[in-house]
Amino acid sequence: MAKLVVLDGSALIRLWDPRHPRHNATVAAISDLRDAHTKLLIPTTALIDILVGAEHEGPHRVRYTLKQIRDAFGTPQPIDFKTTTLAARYRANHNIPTPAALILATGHLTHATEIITADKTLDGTDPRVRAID
Amino acid sequence: MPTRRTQDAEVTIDTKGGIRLPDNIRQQAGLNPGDRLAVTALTPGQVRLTKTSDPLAGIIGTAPGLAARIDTDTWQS
Repeated sequence: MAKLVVLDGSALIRLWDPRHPRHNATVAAISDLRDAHTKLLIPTTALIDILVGAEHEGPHRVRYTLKQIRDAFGTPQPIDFKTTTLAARYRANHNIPTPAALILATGHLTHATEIITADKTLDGTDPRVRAID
Repeated sequence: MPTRRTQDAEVTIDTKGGIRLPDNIRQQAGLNPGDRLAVTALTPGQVRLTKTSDPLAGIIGTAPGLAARIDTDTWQS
C-alpha cells in the first residue's frame, strides 16, 4: 500500500531554502521517509508562506513557484468544511495555531501515514506527526 | 516469488507514440506530474517503465533566503 505523507509549511520552507541552517538535515530526513510508492501531499494552507516569499519577487516567481508545487505534489489538498471543523477540534484539544490544526486535520482526513513538520510543539498532538530536527 | 500485480490497464499508443497512464495506475505506482520514467524494451511486446526522478528535485534548494524573506504567520493572537 502506498504511503501518504503530508508536509507542512515549516518543512517546505526548509526544503526550498538552501540557506536555512537545517536545509540539508530536512532534505535527508524526508528522503529517508520516502520510497518509490510514497505520495507527498500538501494542504493549500501550507502554500501560503512559500507564496509570500515568491510574491516578494514578483509575478514571474509566483508562476514559477506554482509550477514547482504542481510538479512536485500535484494538486494541493483543499481545505473544506470537514477539514475546518476537525481542525477546530485539534486546536481546542491541543491549543495549537490554526495552520497547524489544519495540517493535522488534513492528515487525518486523507488517512496519511505521516505528517512531517519542523514544529516540535506538534509532537504528541497526533500519532501521525513526525517533527524533524 | 512472483511479482505482485495489483492492477492492469490497457492503453493505446497514439500516432506520435505517446500513451496516457490511467489515474489508478499512476496512483498505485506512486507516479506524480513531473516524474520522469525510464523506458526499457524487454521483449517483443513488453516494455518496462521505471520512475527515475525525485519529485522533490525541482524544489529542493531553489529559493535561497526564502526563510529570511517571510515572517511565518501563526494565525494565533
